[in-house]
Amino acid sequence: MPTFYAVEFKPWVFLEPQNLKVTANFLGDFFPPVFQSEFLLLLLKDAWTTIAIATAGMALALVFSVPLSIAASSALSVSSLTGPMHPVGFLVRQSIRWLLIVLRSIPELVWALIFVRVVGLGPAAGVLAIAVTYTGMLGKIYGEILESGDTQTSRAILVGGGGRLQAFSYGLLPQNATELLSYSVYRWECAIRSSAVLGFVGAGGLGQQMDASMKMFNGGEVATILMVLMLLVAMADQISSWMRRAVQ
Amino acid sequence: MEILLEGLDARHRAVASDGPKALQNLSLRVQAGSHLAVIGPSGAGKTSLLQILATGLRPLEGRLSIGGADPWTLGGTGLKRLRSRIFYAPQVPPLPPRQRVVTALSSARLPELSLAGSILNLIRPQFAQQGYQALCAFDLGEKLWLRVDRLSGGERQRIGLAKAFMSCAEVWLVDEPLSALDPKRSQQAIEALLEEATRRGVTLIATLHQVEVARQMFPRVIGLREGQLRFDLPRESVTDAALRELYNQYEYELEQTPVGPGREASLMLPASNSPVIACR
Repeated sequence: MPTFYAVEFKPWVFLEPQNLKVTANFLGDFFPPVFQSEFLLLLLKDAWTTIAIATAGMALALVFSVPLSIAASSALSVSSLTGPMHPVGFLVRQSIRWLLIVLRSIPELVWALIFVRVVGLGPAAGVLAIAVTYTGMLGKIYGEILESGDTQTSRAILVGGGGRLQAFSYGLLPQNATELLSYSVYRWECAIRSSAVLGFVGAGGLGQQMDASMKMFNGGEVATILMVLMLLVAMADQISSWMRRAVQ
Repeated sequence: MEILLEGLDARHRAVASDGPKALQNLSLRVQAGSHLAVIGPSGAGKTSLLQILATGLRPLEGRLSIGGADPWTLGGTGLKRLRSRIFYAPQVPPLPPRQRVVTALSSARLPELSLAGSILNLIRPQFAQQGYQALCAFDLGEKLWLRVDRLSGGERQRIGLAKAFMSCAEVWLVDEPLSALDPKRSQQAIEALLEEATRRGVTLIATLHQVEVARQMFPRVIGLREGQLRFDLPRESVTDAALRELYNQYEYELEQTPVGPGREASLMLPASNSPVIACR
């Protein structure tokens, strides 16, 4: 209850006649959605930009987060096999953890505003914003997946004289592959949504189009854009289930 | 490699620092290339002893020397090199369910592979021939390309033993190798292990619940109880009285030892498919 109070959650305001009218007008504007071929073609291009921003951002994030999560994972600590973790190893792992916290605690929207200043308006700012935030998120979750799974194989490899990366590729990776994959694909889906949002601050794609349509009070166009977004997310969902089945 | 323990104390890592010790004042000398069975009731410290020898557990006190050196004074690189010369097979072999048997087996060869080599081996298995030979010793040759999760518990246990054949270690530490096997398979597995260990001159230390197997197959048997060495005898001197004392109040563990018929006959089996695995 205190949280409801804090956010001034008063559902009954929806039912006041004044507000009902505003809501009805706003929603009424959505109909009919715009299906002109010219606009659809434009949306197709924007949807592609949105997917491209998300995918490029994800790819960059993977490049950085995979090594960071391997380095940060205590499951690959040789010293903690037989006692407390070596201080150097602890320091390295802890500082990577802090770096990941910094990267992901700043929302991608803020990163995007920063990068728009640096590289100018356009998709590049969106790609960088997603890359930075998602490096933080993926690095943290990958590290946790690696630590929470069964670590017996990787520990056995380390005690058998194998290297950390060998323990990763022969122990942790096969043990956690499906989880890592399905989480990554889910995050790609999230990246598509956030790249749409980033469009509002000028990073291009569907978001920028939606921003323009909203500013012109063109509800029909907004409705169409939302439908395209839903289609994209449904598509990502389908791809995710295909990929998981392929790895099973 | 010769193994030497003097007055060694150990405590399992999960136990509080004032909790009971897993091993107390243990002294033991195992000559290079000899075969030793460790018996004793549950909780006697058999697994802890193997973990100490595998350098997976650090002793609290006492002297430990493996191949003439104390593993814990070697430093990172030296310890890693020593670890690659010791093979430890836990009771339940750690095998990722989605890994193929051939890959799981070749993980025993990782210490000699470079990182690039080991990644390449994931894509294009290089140890198929050796893996097949190692599996054949345990009647599992046809399982080489299967995924681990297609195998039964007993098959997995034998895969774990076949991994010893794959490794280039000079010491094999085998924890309860027969716990998931029926008497016939047990006999076959322990014979294969002993035969190959003899051929390679490997030091073999196995913990066993099957007291009869220990007495029949291993030249030397030690009895552990409550973390202490109760006896250390050549097999012909391990009397029923000594066993009864060791298993006092744990007699049910002594009785459940499977004694299959025809053991004497199977002992006479010729060395048929002895694997030849070249180590670098």
